[in-house]
Amino acid sequence: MIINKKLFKNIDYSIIFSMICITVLGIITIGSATLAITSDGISMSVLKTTVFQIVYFIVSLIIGFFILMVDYNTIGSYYKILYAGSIFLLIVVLAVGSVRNNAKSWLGIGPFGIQPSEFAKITTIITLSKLMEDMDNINKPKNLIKLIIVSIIPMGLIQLQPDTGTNLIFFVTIIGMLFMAGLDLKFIYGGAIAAIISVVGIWKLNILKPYQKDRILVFFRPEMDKLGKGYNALLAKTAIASGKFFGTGWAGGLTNGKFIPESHTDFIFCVFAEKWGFLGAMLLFALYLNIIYKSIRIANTSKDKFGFYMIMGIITMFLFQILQNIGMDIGLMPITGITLPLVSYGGSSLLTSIISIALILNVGMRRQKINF
Amino acid sequence: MMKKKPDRVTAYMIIVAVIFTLLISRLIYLQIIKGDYYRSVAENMGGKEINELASRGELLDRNGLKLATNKQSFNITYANINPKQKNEEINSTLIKVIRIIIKNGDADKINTQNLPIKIEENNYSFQFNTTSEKLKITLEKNFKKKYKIDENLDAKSTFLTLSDNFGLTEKDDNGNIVLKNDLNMDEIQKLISLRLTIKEVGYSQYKTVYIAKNVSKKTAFSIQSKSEELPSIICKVDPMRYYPNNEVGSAFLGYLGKIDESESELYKSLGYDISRELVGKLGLEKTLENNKDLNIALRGEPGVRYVQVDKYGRIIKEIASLDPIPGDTVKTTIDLKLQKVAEQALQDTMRKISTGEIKTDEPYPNANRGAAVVVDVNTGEILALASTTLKSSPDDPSYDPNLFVETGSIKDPVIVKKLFGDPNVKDIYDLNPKPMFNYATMGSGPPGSTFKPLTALAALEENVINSSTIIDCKGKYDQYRACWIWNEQHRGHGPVDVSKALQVSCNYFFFETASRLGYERFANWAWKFGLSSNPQTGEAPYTGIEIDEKPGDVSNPFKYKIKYINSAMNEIVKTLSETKYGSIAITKGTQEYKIIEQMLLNGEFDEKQLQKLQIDSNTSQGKKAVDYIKRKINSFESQANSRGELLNAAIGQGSTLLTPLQMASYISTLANGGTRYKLHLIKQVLNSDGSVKMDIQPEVINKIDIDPQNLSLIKSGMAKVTEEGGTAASAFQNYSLPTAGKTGSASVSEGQKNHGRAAYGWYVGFAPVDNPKIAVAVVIYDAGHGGYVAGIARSIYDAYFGLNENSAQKPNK
Repeated sequence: MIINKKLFKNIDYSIIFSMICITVLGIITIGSATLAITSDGISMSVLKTTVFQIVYFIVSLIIGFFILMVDYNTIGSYYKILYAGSIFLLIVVLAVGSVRNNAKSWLGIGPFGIQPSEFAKITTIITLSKLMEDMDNINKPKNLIKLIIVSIIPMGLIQLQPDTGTNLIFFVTIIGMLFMAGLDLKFIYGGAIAAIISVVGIWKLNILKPYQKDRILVFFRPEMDKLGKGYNALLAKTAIASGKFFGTGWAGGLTNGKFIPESHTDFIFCVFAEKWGFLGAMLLFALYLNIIYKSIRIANTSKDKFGFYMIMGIITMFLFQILQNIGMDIGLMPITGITLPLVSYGGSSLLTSIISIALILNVGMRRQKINF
Repeated sequence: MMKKKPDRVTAYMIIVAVIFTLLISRLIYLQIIKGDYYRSVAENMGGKEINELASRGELLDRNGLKLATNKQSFNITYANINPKQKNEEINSTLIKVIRIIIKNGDADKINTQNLPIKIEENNYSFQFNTTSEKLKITLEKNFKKKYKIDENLDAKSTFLTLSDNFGLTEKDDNGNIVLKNDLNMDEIQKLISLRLTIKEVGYSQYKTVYIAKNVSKKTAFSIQSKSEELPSIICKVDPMRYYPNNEVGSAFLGYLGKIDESESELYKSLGYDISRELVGKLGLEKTLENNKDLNIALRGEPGVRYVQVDKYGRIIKEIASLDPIPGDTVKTTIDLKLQKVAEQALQDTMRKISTGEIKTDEPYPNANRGAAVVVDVNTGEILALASTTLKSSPDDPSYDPNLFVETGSIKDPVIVKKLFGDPNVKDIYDLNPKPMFNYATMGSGPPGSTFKPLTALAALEENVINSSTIIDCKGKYDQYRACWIWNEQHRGHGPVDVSKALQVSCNYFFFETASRLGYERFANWAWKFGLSSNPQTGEAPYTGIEIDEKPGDVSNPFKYKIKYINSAMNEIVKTLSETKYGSIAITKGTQEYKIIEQMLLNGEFDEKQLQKLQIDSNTSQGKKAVDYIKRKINSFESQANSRGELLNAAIGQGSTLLTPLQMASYISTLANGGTRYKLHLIKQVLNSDGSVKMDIQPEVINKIDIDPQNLSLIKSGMAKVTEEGGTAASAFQNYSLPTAGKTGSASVSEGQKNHGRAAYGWYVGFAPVDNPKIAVAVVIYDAGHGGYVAGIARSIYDAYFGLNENSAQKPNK
């Protein structure tokens, strides 16, 4: 592997800094959230989750570093293999995967299991970026259909698990990419209308599982259903708000009860905002915004459309996950099982986020044509 | 550079800005504007973990009738939901609750145990549930230490300090601290007690504090309906132990009590909530509380409910729950009907003897405690086990385990004194009836003549007498002992054979028999029947019963030695310290002491051992000492093996002490021809769903080889006891069922007699004679004569064999 050391001069270190800060804050918060799960003090499970997350982080950083070594165009050129590989994994997980949280989404056992749908997000972004780069106009029906087919295969497989949350990310990410690639606005409007019709259709035709319906229903009237399904939403809001400006500190707060489910994964922001308050939340937002803003700048200066599309895909994915995850905690979005990038507990999620950021940096460091 | 679409990037940036603006403004709204509100909501929302106690396993009689069961009780509890509550808030809630409870007539159910201060008029005094002055001082000290009160404060100052701590005082016009006058004294006392209880549990959110236990439905509903005004107060329904037959069977059932400090570590490790769980204290409740060896646990496994409560402490959502697993149901071998009859017959007979209703040779006013045991001779199942004290009136408090079920202790000091005795009164002559004491399993006394069948059997089996052996009873046997007939009528029984000797309970015959038998063979037979320590290993006798027992021991040389070893050693130590023996200093616990002690116990003098102790015959003083020790060992040995000890033991006197349970075991073994079954109370164990967990099979401890001819000789002698001319003839007059038995009137020393003691009245027997089914052992202390108590056995036979239903119904006739 030949690396030109000059390339490292082009790396945006503030993104790396933000990424590390967010992940470390996440690990501390996970420790606090799992501490809450075991009310009798620091038990093995606290250490276990915290240590596992640290290990995932280190492994992810190493993998991310290797991704920096390889030109993103080289990675892009393997898009067919990457795409096929992720489809293959999605099929395998349906065949032999294990069920977690009502979805058959895990491969392998114990803490070292992986979620193929997480990786499919990246391979799909790469594949679509590569395909769109080669298209002179994506608005041509032939091109659009091609893009839709490429998108719909992984989404279909993911829906079979079923993992609607991830598909929601896919959907928004792909829309975002198409928008950035110059999708005609009439498609966007048309799509919106189609979406409304299909939502009603899905609802009426009982395609959604009961718990999915519950979550959506509850979103519209959480206050009316204090004791039932809206309970989590209410509890999440209460936890966050009770953090006030400065937070309750690492060991304080409501989440010390065992009452917020998945407080170290999906509802991690509740714990975060309760412990670190508004101040902590603003710090987190600043770090995220730094990554997003710098990434868009890199996209803008990238040497090719592939890099531009890929970064915009990744950023859209991040942005939506942030909006959705935090939004559901504060009552802006319905409750779905979507992780908060870099913060939520889980190896696959963390690895995907760090690979994504590595790809952004990869584009950034190779933004100028290098003359030997 | 590629061709970009700057318009879309700008649009994208705007979308990003909008999203973050949305999130931030929402956070500003929640965390900054509504933060205080939600913080207080969060504090009040504190989740709770409610432990649901499992309902305790039931105890049934052999026919499935309930001996111990559970009923629902309403308990008012304080849930420590908001640890930051202010004094005023807690007080106002508690006082409301106290008033509701008092209004509904449940004042005595309020938990006032934690305030040991009694206030009468203006007199304040510390009040502890003990009569021992020493313990009172310790308890007072502990109390003050626990709540950080100055040790030197008197009761009144302590009370004021506590009131002040809990915000119940104010300053009067002169600046003195006085109690707030909006509450009356009774309310303040109750309030302080509850506050102390809450404080004791500490700020642990998950502990439940009982404000009042087992309140009426009315009280419970009043509290429930006002729950909005009563934050943190929860009305809970818990299972509570219930003994439907009250005191019947309490001797083997036991009761539930608080976990003592000494047991707290053990129970903590077993997962008990030591602040509120009650545990078995005596009998089966204790033995089966959590018995890993028998694999029986009455306690079951508590469940837990994780709940969310609102600011009123009401449960608004159950997050998760784990159902409690009820304890094992235990079917006992007891026959409830028989048990009732046994207890009633004991009670009636005690009353009749003590009041003179039964004609006695002299008054026996202290015949007020006793026991009866009924055993199935073919299985060792205990059909009835009664330990009873005389009730002076029907309302007299007795050992009813229901008295303890609410709190694990009894509040009324009068009842406590009655049940547990007054520790200030020394009862060296064991005159006071002790309702909580199990006279059947723990109370060993001299069995007197009821022991004679065993002496006779041993002599027959060892061929020192036979069926035709005739001994001429001359009344007076030797310098120290005579037949009872000599003492009463100054004559002898004349020539008697073994059968006749049993019938008339001739001491003379048994003195002579034992004399021929010798100590060793005598003790060996006692051991075979479970009445004496193992002569080889020294293992103490036992009957096998599951509950605690304290079996006695037939007099034997080893027992004699153990009893007198200390006084013998004291004498030796004292003597050796004299100058003429060389001023040898031996202190208790040293190696020297132990060596000499061991020699005494073994009865073997060993000069070499003494030399090791620097006691040798080289000096004149040393020689004296060695000789003295040698003499002492020999005399101790011969005292222990003295003929006198043996002769006394042969008629169930001397240092022989046995429990009614042991006697029942021995008679049962005799009745069935030599099979010594393990006596047991548990017949079957059922799972909570009613399926059988295990069946308890009869277990043979020992099979004794007995010549059938000898056996029938003994049995016929015992049968004659109940016939015309026998010592129990009057009790079994015109009885349709042929039974066999033996009376025992174990005399007490003159010294004890002068203090009101009298002979133990024993009766042991079995029925029917030819094909024995049950064996009975009965004792009433200070009853004067065994003949007076034989009627109890008859009532038991009546009930078991379904005879004379009419006369059994009218015990007075």
